[in-house]
Amino acid sequence: MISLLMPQQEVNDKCKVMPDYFADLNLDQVVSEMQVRNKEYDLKNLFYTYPDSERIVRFRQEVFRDIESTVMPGAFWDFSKAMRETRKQLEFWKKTGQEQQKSVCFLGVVSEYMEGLFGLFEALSGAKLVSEGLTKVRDRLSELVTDKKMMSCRKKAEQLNQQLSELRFHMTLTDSQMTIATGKKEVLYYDKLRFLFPKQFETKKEGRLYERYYLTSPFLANERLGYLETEAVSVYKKLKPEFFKEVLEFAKTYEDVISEELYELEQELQFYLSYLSYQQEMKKHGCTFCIPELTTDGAFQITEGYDIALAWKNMWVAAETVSNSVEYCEAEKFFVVTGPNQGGKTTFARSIGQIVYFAMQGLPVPAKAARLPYFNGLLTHFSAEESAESGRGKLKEELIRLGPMLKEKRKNCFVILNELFTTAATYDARIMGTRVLKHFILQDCRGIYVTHISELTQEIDGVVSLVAVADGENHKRRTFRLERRPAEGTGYAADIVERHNLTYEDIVERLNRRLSEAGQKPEETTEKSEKTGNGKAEGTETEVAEG
Amino acid sequence: MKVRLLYPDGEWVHPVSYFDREEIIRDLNLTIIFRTAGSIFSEGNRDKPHGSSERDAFVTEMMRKVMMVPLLCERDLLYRQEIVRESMRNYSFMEALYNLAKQANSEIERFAAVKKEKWYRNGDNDRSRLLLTELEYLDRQVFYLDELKKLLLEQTGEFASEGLGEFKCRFLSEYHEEYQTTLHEVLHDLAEAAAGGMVELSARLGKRLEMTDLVLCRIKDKEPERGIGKKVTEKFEMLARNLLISGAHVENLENLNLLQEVTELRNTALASLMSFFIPFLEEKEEFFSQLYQQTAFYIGAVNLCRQMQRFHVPVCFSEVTPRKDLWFDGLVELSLALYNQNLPVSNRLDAHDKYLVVVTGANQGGKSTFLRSLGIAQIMHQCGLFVAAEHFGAGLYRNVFTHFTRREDSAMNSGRLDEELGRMERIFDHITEDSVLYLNESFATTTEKEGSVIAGDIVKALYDRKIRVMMVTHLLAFARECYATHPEHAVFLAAERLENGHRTFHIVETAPEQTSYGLDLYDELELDKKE
Repeated sequence: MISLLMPQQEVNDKCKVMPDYFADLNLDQVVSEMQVRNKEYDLKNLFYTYPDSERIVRFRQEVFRDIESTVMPGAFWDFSKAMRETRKQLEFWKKTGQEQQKSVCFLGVVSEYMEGLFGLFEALSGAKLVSEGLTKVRDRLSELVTDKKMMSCRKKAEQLNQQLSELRFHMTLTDSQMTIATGKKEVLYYDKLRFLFPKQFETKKEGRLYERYYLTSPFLANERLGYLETEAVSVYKKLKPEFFKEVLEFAKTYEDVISEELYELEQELQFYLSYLSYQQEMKKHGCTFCIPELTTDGAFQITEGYDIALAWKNMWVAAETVSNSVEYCEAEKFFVVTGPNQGGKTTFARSIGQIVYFAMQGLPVPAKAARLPYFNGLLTHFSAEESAESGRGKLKEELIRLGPMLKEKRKNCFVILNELFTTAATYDARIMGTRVLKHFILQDCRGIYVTHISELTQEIDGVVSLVAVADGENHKRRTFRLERRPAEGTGYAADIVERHNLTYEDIVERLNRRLSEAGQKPEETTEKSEKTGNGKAEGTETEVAEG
Repeated sequence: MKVRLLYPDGEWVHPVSYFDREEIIRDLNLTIIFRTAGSIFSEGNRDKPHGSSERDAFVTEMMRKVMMVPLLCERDLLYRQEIVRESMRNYSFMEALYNLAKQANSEIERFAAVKKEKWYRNGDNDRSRLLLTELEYLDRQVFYLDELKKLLLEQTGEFASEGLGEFKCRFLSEYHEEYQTTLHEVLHDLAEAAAGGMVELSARLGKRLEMTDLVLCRIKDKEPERGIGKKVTEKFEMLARNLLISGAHVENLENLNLLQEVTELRNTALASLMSFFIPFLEEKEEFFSQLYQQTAFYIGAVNLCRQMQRFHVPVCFSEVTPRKDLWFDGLVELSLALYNQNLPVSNRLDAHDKYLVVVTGANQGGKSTFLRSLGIAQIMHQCGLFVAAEHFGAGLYRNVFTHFTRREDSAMNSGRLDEELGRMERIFDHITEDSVLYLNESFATTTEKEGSVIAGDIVKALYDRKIRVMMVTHLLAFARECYATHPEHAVFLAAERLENGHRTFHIVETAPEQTSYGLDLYDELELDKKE
């Protein structure tokens, strides 16, 4: 079996439970957004699994590049749709009992299946493929479509479908009688209506002239044919007996033509397609993505990385998402981030975590550029609310969650610890924090430690202090840079006042501006209303709201 | 289909009214005018006292709405004035138009209610019943279109006003003979299809052998019942048809399931036909609703005019002048006239190139009445109505602001001043150069000295920007100071007081004096006491 997620020989157990870091990094939001856009598949299992080796990462990066650049993703979407349709038709087919209906249905199933198969094969064979994964898929599809039986099946199906579409019949209905006839000349009722409502008959698409004429049938396609349909079929059976005979034969001959291996391919494709469409939506709104470079010497450098889940939310309200650049120099293991509340520390930590996650999935990451090594795993600990159920205090809760992470002794993980021990006394918190940090450094892990305890940054080798610093110039939006510098411990109350434009100077300045605006406005309004004439919407005065 | 009786180029949709219309209505006493316009006047109750005539709340409501939206150019104003004139001359036509629109509207509302009710009940039979209701409704709408056409065709002479003339032309060219005939033919087909006539459809079988691509081919009238003998020939006909058409298959609908499917299919065909009419119905609903609203204004106008004539209040159509000019003769305060049912004192003024009008003078001298008469006339002028004057000419203003200190406000109190200035600030937030501001005894909530300073600043700022201000003030210090600077674009008026202290209630052009002759009033009362 060919896989698009794993190179051959690799085995990676599928993870069915949500990993702990998912909620902490808001990855659950990302996956559920993707799920909303691709409802037919279960994406969770695909994204919960963490790749076991660096080889998988590189394998997937190649596949993604191919899907994104060479083959039009549309071909994959079409393929997925055809496969879904095939399965749906197949389900229906299983339920039907009537002989003619069953065989015609099977014709439908096979037609859908072949549409998917041949469509994808044509798209792939026309493309320049680089990835190992897609090349193998193409080779396999090539085998399938050149199969002799498949080819004859395709030909026959086309022919029968053509015949089926030509079966038109007329029903004449009164309140006491019904007549079904074929071969009548087609008359359309709509002349008078077209005269009365010409606009409704303007066709937008070429060749879709009848679109407005078609009525929606009141009868849903059912496993049991309706009475009228049965009548129509019996008329046809008399008229064209050979058609139904051929369809029946077709169903027998090509019973085994559908191969289930394409379903698996379809499932795996959703991993790439979902992320691709999510990413495209964001790119439309100006977000940047890059496929990260996997380093072997441990270099770790991210340029303008941002929080993907936050950016997704922001783009609907046209808000800007702050990005950060960061680099671990050699021997640097942990960033300890301090700074004001609401200063974007958590968002920063989260964004780096997301970048590591998506990089390890072999997908593009939310950043302008990224170079990073392979990590064996992701460990996160974000401060939790006190659990009412367990009745335990917050500190105890935290320690209990932290326990397994420390005991497991996994090497080379990426670790994010956010506001640990906030309820402990500063002295205790400092000691505990130091011990935790030392443990992870010893395990050859890298990571981020967000805290308000500035002393933590001073004591350990391999720890770098980052401070969130407000960009002073811009009052309307509080933006932060993360600066490498020793932590400090000042209050930020004045800062918040400034942010709300509530200083004395601000208020005076605002008043002045209003007056000058009011001075300019009248001329414009006069001119405008005289030109437009009557008192409808044009003459509206619009009041410019103060920010 | 457009009505366009209020505007030459548009319907009555989302009009932008004056900024604070409730304030204007209260300050200028407009409610009585709206109410009078909504009291349908007929020859029969000419002699009955005011208020006993038939009330039409909708007319009152529309007067309130339309009068609170200014017309901003002369063309629109003349367009409306013409229709008002024509409505006065040919009231019976306007009334018939209005009544027709009113009836059509009440049916629209009734149908909406029925439909809503039927949506909630979702029985099996409801689909066909709903279809029947819709069909009936469509029938009614077409009936009103036909009636309207009849009404317009009855008017053999040319319409004098552009508005009504265009309306007739537009309607007749859109609802022309062929359209009308075809419409009735389709309605007939629909009725037949609903009543059991023959419906012919074509379809094909889809991928699951389901019926698909359904198309309606023909509708034929139900054949009249025949005798037994004819049934035999019918069978022969059928046989012949079967031979002619390959594979024909005839079934009498004795099987109930089959009958049910056939009924469903017929309903689908009917529903699909009805769906073509949805935009048609929506458009006609909007058309009749517009017609109802727009004609209501003219009905109101005629009624108002008739009431004014009853009390010998002058009626004239105003002229549009540049904004710096204002002239009138025989102007009376309409709300007062309607309230007292007699003719109040009239005033005249001829002010060219003036932006500021300051009225001072004797208490109880008719200053406020004068200011109000100006405001009312301006409002009526700007909406294309006639004005209660012999002659009236004024500019058009996008906005009208009133700032009246009402009696109950005038107690001196800093909270009140705060509130008053708050109102003033709100005006300043919205005032533009094409606005007119009526100030009546403003800043009376503080001492005269302080009030004068405030008034001086505000009036100067407005005067410099050439914004029209009409003010009545008791702030004599302010008025005299203002007068002393000889502003070029200002007029100073005062309530006339004869040498003997008698008040004529006329407002005349004169320099502001030191006193408002409150003493006169005091003396007058004292005299009364002695007697």
